[in-house]
Amino acid sequence: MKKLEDLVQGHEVIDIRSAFYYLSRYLKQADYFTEYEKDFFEDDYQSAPSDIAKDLTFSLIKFIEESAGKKAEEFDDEEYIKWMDIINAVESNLDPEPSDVVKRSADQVIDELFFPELGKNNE
Amino acid sequence: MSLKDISHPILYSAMTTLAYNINKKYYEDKHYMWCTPYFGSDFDSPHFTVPPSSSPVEIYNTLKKEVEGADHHNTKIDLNRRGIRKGASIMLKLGKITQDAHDEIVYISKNAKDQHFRPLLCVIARLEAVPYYQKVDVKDRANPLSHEYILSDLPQSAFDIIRIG
Repeated sequence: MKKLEDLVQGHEVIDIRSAFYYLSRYLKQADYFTEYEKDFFEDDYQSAPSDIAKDLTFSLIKFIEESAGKKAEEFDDEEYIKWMDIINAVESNLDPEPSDVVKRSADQVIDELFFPELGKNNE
Repeated sequence: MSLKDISHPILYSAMTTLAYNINKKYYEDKHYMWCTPYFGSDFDSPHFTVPPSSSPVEIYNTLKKEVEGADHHNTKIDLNRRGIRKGASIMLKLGKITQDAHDEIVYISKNAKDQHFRPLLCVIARLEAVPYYQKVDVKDRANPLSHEYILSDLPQSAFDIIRIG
């Protein structure tokens, strides 16, 4: 049986990640598209998705809605969460294992994360 | 409607503590944020043209609930983790960060605890935001009355951070 990850095989990680991001937006905002006329691909000029990412997003939407037998706007909370969990499982495994140097550096950043002071000029 | 054409003096946005920290450390303290002139009060008003899920106070409260463990699904936090990874891949492609920095951000997005997604509310003077607003052309179907704006590379000097609740 075809799975979500089969659809993204052969694509570049940047396009896969982008597609999953906009797919998530689509699922999250499915209720509002007609009412608010939102474009779920809307983004700033730097982040705009490639045509490949857009096509991939539409493929993923089609797969999910055909698997579910309904449009995303008809999903109940349980279905929405189920698909978001599946997306998460695939998307979070796109990356190779980072090096020990990267891990150590990143762990230090996590340890040093801070909650900013209120107001401006948090130097 | 363009950001310079609306009359509202203030814009609001909700951001996570983790995103704030990543922007500060890796992106020269320049921030990407969705903002709206509506803090979020009367969803039934004909003047309120953003969906509830785009209301800064709704986003803030949803994140707060997930951080405090009241919501077992944490879909908003997971979406944020994914958004951070997408942002990192874009920045790498643009040459604004190195591969190592990208890999660190990806690792951080996966290993940061839920508490690191504690929400922040950002308050921006509209006039200070105008130079950082550059919208991608959207298809004709997009609502011309929509009051959601994306700001790119907004310096931290351009906004205040407040806490509510």
